[in-house]
Amino acid sequence: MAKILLIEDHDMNRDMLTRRLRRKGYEVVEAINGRQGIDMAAGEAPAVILMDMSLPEIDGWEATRILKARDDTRNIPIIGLSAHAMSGDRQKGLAAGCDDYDTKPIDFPRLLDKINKFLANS
Amino acid sequence: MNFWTSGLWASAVPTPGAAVLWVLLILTAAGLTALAFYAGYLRRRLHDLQDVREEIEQNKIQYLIRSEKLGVQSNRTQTSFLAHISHQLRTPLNIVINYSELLEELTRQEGREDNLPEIRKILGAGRELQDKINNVLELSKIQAGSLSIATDILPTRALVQDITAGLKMELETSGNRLVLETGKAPEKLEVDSQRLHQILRHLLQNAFKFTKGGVVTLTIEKERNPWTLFRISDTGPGIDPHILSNLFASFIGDEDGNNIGTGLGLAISRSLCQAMGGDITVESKPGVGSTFSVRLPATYISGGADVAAEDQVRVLIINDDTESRAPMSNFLNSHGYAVHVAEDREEALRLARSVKPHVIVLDALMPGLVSRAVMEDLRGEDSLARIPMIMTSMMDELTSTFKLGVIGYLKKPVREHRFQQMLQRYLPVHTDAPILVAEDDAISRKIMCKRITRAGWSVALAADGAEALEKVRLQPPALIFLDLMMPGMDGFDLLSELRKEEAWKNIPVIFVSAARINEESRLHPPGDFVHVSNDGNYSDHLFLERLRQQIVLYMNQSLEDKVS
Repeated sequence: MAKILLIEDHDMNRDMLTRRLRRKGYEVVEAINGRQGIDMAAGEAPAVILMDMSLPEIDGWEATRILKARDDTRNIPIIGLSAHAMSGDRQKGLAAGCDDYDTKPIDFPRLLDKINKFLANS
Repeated sequence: MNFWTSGLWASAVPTPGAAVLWVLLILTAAGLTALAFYAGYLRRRLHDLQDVREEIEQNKIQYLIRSEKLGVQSNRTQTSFLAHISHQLRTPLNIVINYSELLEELTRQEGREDNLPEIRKILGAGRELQDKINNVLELSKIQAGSLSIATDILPTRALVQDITAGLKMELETSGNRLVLETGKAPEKLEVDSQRLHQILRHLLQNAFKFTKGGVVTLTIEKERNPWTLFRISDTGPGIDPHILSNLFASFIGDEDGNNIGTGLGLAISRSLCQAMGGDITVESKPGVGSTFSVRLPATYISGGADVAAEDQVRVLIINDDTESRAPMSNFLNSHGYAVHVAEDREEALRLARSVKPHVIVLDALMPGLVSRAVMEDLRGEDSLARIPMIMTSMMDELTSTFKLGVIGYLKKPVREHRFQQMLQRYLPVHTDAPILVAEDDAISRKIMCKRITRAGWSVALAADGAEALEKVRLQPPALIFLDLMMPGMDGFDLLSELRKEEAWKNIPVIFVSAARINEESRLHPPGDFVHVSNDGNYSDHLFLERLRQQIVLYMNQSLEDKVS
């Protein structure tokens, strides 16, 4: 089953999402900040990255920009996740290079649809 | 011969007639002197009065600038506050909703079905809270003016079917009867169907919720073109008169906080109605029931061919640019308006006098502050001063500072194409004067500099207000792009300095801002104007539709004025 990299600093958010994704059969690897996320994206070669935007050290926007600038990580689809829901936030996420963007609280079936859409394309 | 014998003395002694002459001469001289003094006094008074007048004028200018600055600041605070609160609430809500979904799955899987109702209650409450947060955000978006209305044409029957089908469940559980009265409804509606759907659905849901085993009636009626009435009445318990007067108020900005219990649905419904050019009212009698009436300019009128000439609404479009004028004039024509067109200042005044238009549509970007001059002409003449005025432009915002030579606000980031189009429209003839960019962000400054050079103009750059003032002193620019947020002397402070000097009063200014401008600054006292903006594309359907709705709104207002 496809490998998903979840980059999320909030413990409960990370635990919840990992458990729900594993129950659906995905392999999930976790990173707790932007820097670790970038390293793991290169080392683990996941099929999709779920990126929280408010991260310590390197935030989600910056991490996305770095990943989209690197040859070895450029083609991994990134779904930005954030509790920021003002209209400009989505644009900001997409402008940073996110392939899709979703707001929290996470609508799990909708998130699965988005993940599967990227998996089907790859 | 001595003096006495020469007879000369006799001529020095006044005869009675000469004495009168002397007296008159002396009196005249005295009078003249007094007059001269008085004239001097009057002159000084006049100067004083002129000084006072100038001071008042200057105070007015400074007041206008300061109130706009406050408006922008307060809006920025409110928007970031809402964004912050929403973020704060969403993070724990994410945990509540998603863990209870997980728990529901696990519980079902392990066969502990008896625990499911409690879990679903938590989940339900979590989702309800999420809806409420979304409502707050939606309302703030509407109030910030960032809501867009998309009009489409649909059969009234289709709308009714859609709504009733979507409410089947609620209708059945409430035990009420729904009566549809659509005999006098227009056949087709021209309206933002999604928003209308949202409003009617909310009102019907409310009626179902509060009425037990009664009747809820949805009436749709065609009124005077283009108005349609949507009425929802119930046989419920009615609304407490104390709440009734504040029913549509949102709790945001309400100091006593009494309305927190009533929710945001009605506030959103009203804001949506108003954004579509209509309004919503309520009547209620305790123990008898409540009636909500939504009036929208939603009746579809094909071609407008059935409008008699004397009933036609006369619109005067003042715009020197054929390309932007034609789409507006064609569109309004096709909707049955009598459209007149003026290309310059003289023609504008002449046509306004002879046509006596119901509404004036003035473009804000006619080169060289001509638009402002036209506005002054029209507002300066008693018989024309009260004609409603709609400004059109590719600026994001236009406020009362337009009268001070502020052509408008551009919201960052400004697209290259739009920027060039705007420059070309406003400054078609190149001069030696530079375009001044006052902006503290080095990157933005560089981008602006490149764009202006590309357009064939020379550039002067300033990193803050004080430096900009220096540059203006050195050489008055043809136009200033003024960033609102600069350290030290900001955009508003610079504007207030510029408008103090006679020589700088007519330097046009464009405000560049990362934030939207406040609602208060866009309120329009009588004799002022409203602004309908576009992206530089005057054929854009949404723009034309908003223009038409604004005219409809004005016509409705003047109708109400006549009745009351």
